[in-house]
Amino acid sequence: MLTCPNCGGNLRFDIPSQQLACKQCQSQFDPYAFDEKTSDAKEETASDDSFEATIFTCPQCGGEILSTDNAATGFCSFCGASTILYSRLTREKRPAYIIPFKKTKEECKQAYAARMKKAWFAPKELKDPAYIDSFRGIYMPYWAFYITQKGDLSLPGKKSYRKGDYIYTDHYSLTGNLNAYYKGLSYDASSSFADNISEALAPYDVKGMKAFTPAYLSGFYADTADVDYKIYQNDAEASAVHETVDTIKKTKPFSSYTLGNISNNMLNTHTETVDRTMFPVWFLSYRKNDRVAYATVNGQTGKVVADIPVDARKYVLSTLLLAVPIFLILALCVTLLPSWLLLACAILSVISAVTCGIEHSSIRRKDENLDDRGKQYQELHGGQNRIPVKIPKPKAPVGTVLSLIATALSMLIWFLHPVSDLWYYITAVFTLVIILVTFIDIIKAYNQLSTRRLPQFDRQGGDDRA
Amino acid sequence: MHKILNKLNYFFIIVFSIIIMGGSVISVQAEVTTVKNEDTGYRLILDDEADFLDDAQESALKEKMSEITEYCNVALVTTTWHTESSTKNFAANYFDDAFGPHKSGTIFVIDRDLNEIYLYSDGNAHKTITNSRAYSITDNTYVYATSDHDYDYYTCAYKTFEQVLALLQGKRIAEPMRYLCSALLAIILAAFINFFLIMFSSGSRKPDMDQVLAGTYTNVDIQNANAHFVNQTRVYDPPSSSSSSGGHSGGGGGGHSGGGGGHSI
Repeated sequence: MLTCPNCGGNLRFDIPSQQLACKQCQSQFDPYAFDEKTSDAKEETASDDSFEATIFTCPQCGGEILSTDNAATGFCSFCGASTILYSRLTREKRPAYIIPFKKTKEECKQAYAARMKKAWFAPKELKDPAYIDSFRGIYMPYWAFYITQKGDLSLPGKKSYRKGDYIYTDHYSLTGNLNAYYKGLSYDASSSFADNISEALAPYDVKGMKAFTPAYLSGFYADTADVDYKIYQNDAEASAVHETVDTIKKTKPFSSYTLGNISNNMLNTHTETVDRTMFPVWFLSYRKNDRVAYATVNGQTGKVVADIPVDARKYVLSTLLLAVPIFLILALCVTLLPSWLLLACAILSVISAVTCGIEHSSIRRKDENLDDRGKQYQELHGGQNRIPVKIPKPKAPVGTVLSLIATALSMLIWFLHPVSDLWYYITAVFTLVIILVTFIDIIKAYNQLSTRRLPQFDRQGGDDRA
Repeated sequence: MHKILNKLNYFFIIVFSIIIMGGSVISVQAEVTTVKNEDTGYRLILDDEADFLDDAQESALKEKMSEITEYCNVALVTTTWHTESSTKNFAANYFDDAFGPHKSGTIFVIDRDLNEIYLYSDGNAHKTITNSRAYSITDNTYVYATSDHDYDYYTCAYKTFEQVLALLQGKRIAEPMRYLCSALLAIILAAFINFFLIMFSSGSRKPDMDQVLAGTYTNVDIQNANAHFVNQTRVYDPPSSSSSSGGHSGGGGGGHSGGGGGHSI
């Protein structure tokens, strides 16, 4: 904990002034002035690549969050549990750079509130000012790649044209001297921080990065890096190659040739350095039963990324309200023949079956972390601290099965073309009721998809009964 | 010889009798009742070519149809054979022949050739008896013309004209299944629209590569860019021999201004 040299009060990083500020005597200090002179926590010398911090561990989910302050936090950001976190002192590896918070908590709350105004179907708890007030500033660990492409170019190019019955292709060697670099391609280094959130929260402007000093953490928390940079190295190099190839294609005289396949080696792609960095995120969790939803705000740009579940009551009410004008249009303006009604029902039934199937497939991918590189890495390399994720075997979604049965029945009646309208009407009503049942399944699935499994299912030390 | 002549006489008498009898049948079948409402000038036509109705039924129908002539022309046609491709075309052509194109009126056809009933209207009457309402009326009455009701064409026609008259008098007709299905369909469509609204409003877009690179230190510099010819290859690929034939466009023929609705029976 940093203390004010003037009055002994606690120093906190003040976002508007980008200085350390004392609330008691209003003094302000340059954060780097404390790099070698701290009060309680002894800061290390420049040659040491670690710094002292307090690790807070959630007794329920095992989630860890670190701070340079000693004060215990009252809730866990990862599982949303209100609990007293265990704390212990530790030495953490010192990041090379940090992007300090630029958006204040007030600005973060405003950005989130503006986002939630458009989320008409969100549960009202998500818009509750008391809930919004629990946003917590967390520095998330990122790997920042510095990639270079330097050397002589020799790329295959070709031009094709027709002459008579033949297509002629002239092959060329495209040469030149390439000097390219990409500094600051960033990938999140925390398995607790879902990839889909970190990717959507981007971009961060790394031009705003500063050399790390623990003083920036004062008043905030930080997540720990537990994902190796190597799992992102190919991605970073591929991004650099893709971007350079795009530039080459636009460069004269190369722009008039068709380029062949270009590999990393052909551009002399090389990862020079990979730096530990910390990027600012305002973080909020919403827990309901055994699921948790996260709301995050980019602490530099104010971009909001949130899991927004649907309030079933709001959905049903708004559906009934919207159904009124649609009913009037159908009843007054549309000639609804029984056979066409049945065909429309069959089409809607297919759409609902496919939607339901896609939703359930996405849930499975999410719960098995198939699209989360960080979590996959932890599952493979987490060692003894990891417990295997037990996902029940997939079952065919009820909504999809019922809808497909209803579709088949509708099509059968449509093809048989019976004289009596009753066949059409009864089948149409049956199909429509099945579609409604499927929609209940779809909304349930959507809510599962817009929330996450509690992290204690992934981490040893977590309380599964929580 | 005399016997032969006598036999021939009998034969001709029988053949003549058959022709006479047949002619009287044809004349009965082809009998078309036309009554003009002197007050409005509208006419009713009852053409029971298929002979589905007895005299009492025809009288009752004429009485009901005469009420319709207070508002527009009206016709009832039954048929077991015609050359039109659809009952709708048959009804429209019959209407035009009987009352003239675009005249205000309605015609109800019971077509046992194509097994369909059709209610066609034109002119001012079509504004009241819209296609949608015509379908609703035939939906309500088709069942009488089926085996379930022992092909009760009289009731089918009578109920149809009852509902036509109700509409012309500004009353409403019952369309229970139509409203039920419209309501359910409206709820489903609303559920779909709301769901896609949720999908649209809840998603967080990932930034594209240009946006990501805008926040990084990036530079791509290519000096001495040159292209050197290496070799040439060729592939035999004759142009396709497909040829296009001359086009033709033509306008469609004239259509009927009216419309209606029908139902299979």
